[in-house]
Amino acid sequence: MTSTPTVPSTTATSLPGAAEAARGKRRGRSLLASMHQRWPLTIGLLCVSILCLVTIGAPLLAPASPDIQNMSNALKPPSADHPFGTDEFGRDLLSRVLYGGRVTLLASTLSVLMAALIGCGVGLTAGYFGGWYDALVGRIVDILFSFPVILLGIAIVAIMGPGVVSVIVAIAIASLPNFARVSRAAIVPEKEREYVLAAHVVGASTWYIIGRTLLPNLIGPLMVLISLGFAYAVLYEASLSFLGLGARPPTPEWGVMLSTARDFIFQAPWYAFFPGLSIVLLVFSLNLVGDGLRDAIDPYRARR
Amino acid sequence: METRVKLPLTRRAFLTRAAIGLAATLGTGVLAACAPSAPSAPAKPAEPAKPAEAAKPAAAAPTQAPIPVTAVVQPTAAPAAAAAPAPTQAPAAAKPSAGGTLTVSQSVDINTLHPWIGTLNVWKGIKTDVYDQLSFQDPATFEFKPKLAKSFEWVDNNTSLLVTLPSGVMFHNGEKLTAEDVKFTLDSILDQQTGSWLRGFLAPIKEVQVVDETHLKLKTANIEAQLIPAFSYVDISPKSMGTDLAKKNPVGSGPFKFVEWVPNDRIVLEKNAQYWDQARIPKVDKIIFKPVTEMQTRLSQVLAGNVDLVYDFALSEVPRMQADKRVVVTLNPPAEQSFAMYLNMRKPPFDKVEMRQAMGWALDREAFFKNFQSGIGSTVGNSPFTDKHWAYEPKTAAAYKFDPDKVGQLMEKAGFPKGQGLDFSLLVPNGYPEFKQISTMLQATFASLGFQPQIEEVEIAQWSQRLNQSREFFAAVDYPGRGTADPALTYSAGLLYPPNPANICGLAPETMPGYVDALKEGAQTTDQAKRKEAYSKAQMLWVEHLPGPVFGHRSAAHAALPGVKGFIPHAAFQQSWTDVSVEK
Amino acid sequence: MTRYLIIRAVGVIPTLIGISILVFGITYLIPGDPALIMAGSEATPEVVANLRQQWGLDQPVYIRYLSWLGNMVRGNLGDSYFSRQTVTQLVGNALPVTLELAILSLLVAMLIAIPTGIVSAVKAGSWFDLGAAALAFIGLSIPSFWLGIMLIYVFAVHLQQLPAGGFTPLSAGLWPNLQSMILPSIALGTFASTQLMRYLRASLLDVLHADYIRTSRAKGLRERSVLLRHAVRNALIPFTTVLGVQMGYLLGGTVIAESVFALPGIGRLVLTAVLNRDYQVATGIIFLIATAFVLINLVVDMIYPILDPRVRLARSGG
Repeated sequence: MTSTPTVPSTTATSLPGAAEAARGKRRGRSLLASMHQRWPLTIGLLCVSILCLVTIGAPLLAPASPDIQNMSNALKPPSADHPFGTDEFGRDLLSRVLYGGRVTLLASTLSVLMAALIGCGVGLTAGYFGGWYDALVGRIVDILFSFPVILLGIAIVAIMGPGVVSVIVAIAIASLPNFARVSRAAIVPEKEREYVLAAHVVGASTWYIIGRTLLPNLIGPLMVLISLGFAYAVLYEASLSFLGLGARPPTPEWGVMLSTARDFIFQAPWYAFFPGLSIVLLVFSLNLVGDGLRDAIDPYRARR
Repeated sequence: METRVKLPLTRRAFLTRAAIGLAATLGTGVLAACAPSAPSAPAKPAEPAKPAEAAKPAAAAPTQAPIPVTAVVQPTAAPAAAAAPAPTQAPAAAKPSAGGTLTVSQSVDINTLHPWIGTLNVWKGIKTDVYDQLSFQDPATFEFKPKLAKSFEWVDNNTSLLVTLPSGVMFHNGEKLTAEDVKFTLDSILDQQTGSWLRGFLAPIKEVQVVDETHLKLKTANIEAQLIPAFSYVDISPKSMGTDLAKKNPVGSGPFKFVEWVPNDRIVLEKNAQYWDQARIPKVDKIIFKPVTEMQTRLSQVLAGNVDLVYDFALSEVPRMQADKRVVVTLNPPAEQSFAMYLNMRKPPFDKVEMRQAMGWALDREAFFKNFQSGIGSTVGNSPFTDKHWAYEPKTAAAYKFDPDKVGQLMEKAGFPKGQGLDFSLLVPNGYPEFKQISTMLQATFASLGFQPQIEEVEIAQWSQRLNQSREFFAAVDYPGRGTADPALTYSAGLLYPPNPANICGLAPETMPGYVDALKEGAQTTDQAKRKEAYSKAQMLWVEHLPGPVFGHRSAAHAALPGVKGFIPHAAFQQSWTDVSVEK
Repeated sequence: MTRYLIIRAVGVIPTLIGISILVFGITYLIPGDPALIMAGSEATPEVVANLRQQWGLDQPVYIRYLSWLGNMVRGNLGDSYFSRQTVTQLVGNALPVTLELAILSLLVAMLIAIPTGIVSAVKAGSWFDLGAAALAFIGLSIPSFWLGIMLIYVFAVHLQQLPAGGFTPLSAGLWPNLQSMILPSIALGTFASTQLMRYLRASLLDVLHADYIRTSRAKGLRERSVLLRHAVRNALIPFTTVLGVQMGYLLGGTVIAESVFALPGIGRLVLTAVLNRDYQVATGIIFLIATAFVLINLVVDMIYPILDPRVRLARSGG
């Protein structure tokens, strides 16, 4: 693998003792105080939770079915009946945004989880075992990393046919390398440590060492990556939908709605506004969470 | 526990830094603002020129019997000189401003340079003036008239069409155009090996005989009414160029010469000052066609004055463009293209006539045209022709409309009560929003009755492959053309109406008894009344068996800067630019 | 040190071969028959078969791969199925456009990111910092095509100051060329700048608390000296990595900007090629982009020792 350092302060290379000490001291404070200290993280988490709840609860919250067409009521601006307005088929946009969130969230979650699972698994084992396996994995990750994501997405969707599944696979493959790289970088300095050697001596099996001893070191950077990866996934999905490779009608989905809204951008600007706003809110809060987590993990970062 | 480190940043240092940052960002902005203004749109006098009303092809005479008299007819100059009210000012009256460059933006780039294989409308709009065709269709009256040919005459007891060519016609490469070149063109198209989609258009021709340099005889079995209209699609290419034309710069004999194609960027034509028909020498020196896929960008470009003309843009934007004084909008009357559906009769459920009829009732046509076509277009459908056409059968009008109840009843008759056991999907190509819109509306109709068909969106390449080769589809929307042509051509060209193996729906000669005979009669009789009767029968048969429902007729919209004069849109996209002039 | 560089450079080759396999494999897997598209929808099966044979499409995949690879090594990237031009010509026409767009976008990004990042870090926790962060996040979340369309509407249609898309080549003059590039660069650069700003701020913050900074202040150096000579220079190290990543992203990610602004660049070229199944063009271009990415990373790797003496020493085997 290349020896270029990764994003500053996501690698756990700090002095072992101080990290534990700092963590212990933080736990001593009251929860509220730490929430106040880390208010970006709190706000971010809050936003994400609200968005998740609202979209999961779409069947209860949506005023109408997202698929009911009413051609005589098409492209109407926001009103009491339709708080977000209507689309070109007269369908209620609020309902479509709520239901659409489910698809967007589901697709992003699944793809990021897939990427995390496979990426970390590969990175962990590569870092631990080393040797030719490590070199091979390094090569493959380099190759994947070099691929412009949009092109990879286009190619995969072209192969698998359009639809949510292809988009999930495309995003997962594109996000893999990051997870692999970071987990490997987190493991390599740790595997020579005393506590790992100690576990060896005691007779622990390889998998125990990997799973119980080394893996916890990953949790921090992993959480950061997941939340940031989530944000990227949402944006990639919007881009792929822009190019016409997303969910099939009549399924609502934020990226597809934005893409369709392009053609009506002057007639009905609210059409693009609400899905766009939702995407911005989601990505925004995910970034807040990611940044907040990053600050929380590394005790040497200056607090704001 | 780290203490907060307060950095002693001096005010001076901070201000310097901020100033640098601001200057940099502002600098870019200032540079942009100080730029010399883009060429401003020319002063617009109050333009009384309103585009022709949507529904009627303004006072167009119904297509005449296409069998021309044996008189020698010169290809008419500027179709606008005819009585038809031109949508923009009659160019004959305007002062012909010579020279200049016309910039036209199109929605896609061409994908071949082959005149006999390329099917894209944008390609037709470019090649019509690069080549000569034996005949042409008057954009205002829809009549087919001789163009390169001086005359057509049925001789030898009506088994040969005698074509007379003018002398002194030169190709752009300096060669003379003779009957040999026309024979070569026709023979090549008729040859299966060439793979031209025009083969069916010329099918009745059994043999092409060269009489002398300016005369040809086309041998057929009978009079065939489709031939002269068909010639408007046939571009005459020199024999010396051969048939492998996909990658060669087109060499024709037309009023414009082909200069270059830079893929994804531009296509350039320039004036042919040696054009044999001096009355049709182009007014502009050069035309540049630019493919711009993003629709909003295309419209913004013409509004900003960056291009002169936007060719064929989405009808949903027509009201906004019409309201904007910076451009003039022209509309094709809805007559040529119709929104129709291919139903795969080879397999369930559309092997059952009741299901096909159900589809005929399933689209809310009024709503579609009102919401997506800005109310422009004709909702009658059911026939390839509109009521302005002489061959139109008025009884078809009542055949199908929007009626979800009837859809439900027919579904039940077909054996799928409330959609039980029903399974089909709608195939839609990328980049054709109208097809997707129609399909989504159909999907909703069926969904409300118990079964929601899936919509499969695939790329145009795959769509074409599945319709034409593997036949892996159930139903697909398209907009076949030739609604203004002679019915002989309408029913013998394309993939919907002719009962042959290439038919996408699977329409075979025996599927609709009487259909083949009606078409034959219509194509081979000269008696106008008999022809009308034959085509009446064909339309009624179609409506009864419904291999493919026809939902209505489509218009097309173009927008140009006010300085562009003489543009008359052609319904079949065989656009001629020779009368167009540009004033800046 | 040179030994390390040579090994590093040579190590790129297996990566490139791997990329070529991946690229070729992907385009092979995409369903669709280019011969059918070339021949037109009404062509007879014989015509289609002829075309397939002409283009070698009927041969087994590994033979096609090897012959493609062989040609590539000799500099022949193949021919387009549709236009007369070779892939090399097509790329030659399109690459300058994309390169210019990528470079200008990067410049815009840096112009925005560097001053903002530095001030944010120095004034960490202030309103400026929060405001910049908010703007950065918003910029990160806005779909670039929306931004593009809005920019066109405001500057081209309303104000009529800039062209609404389209590319004016340098041959028509430097200023017209720049005019056609300003809006697209802003649209793309905004997104990249948010990334850069956050990274610069983060790494600068890290650096500013390091011991050697305290030492140089204790030494009595002026704040500007401290900032520019020591802090920023060290913060630039990870920043350069991100720069490299952004450059690669910009090269491949111009598809959307080129569609919205109608620029005849690589992005649009490759999209059309994939849609039309113009295999040779698609494969050639994707491979070139991936290679460029790898090479950029290589260059970034090589710059490191210049910026960071620790790395220089480490790599010399110290």
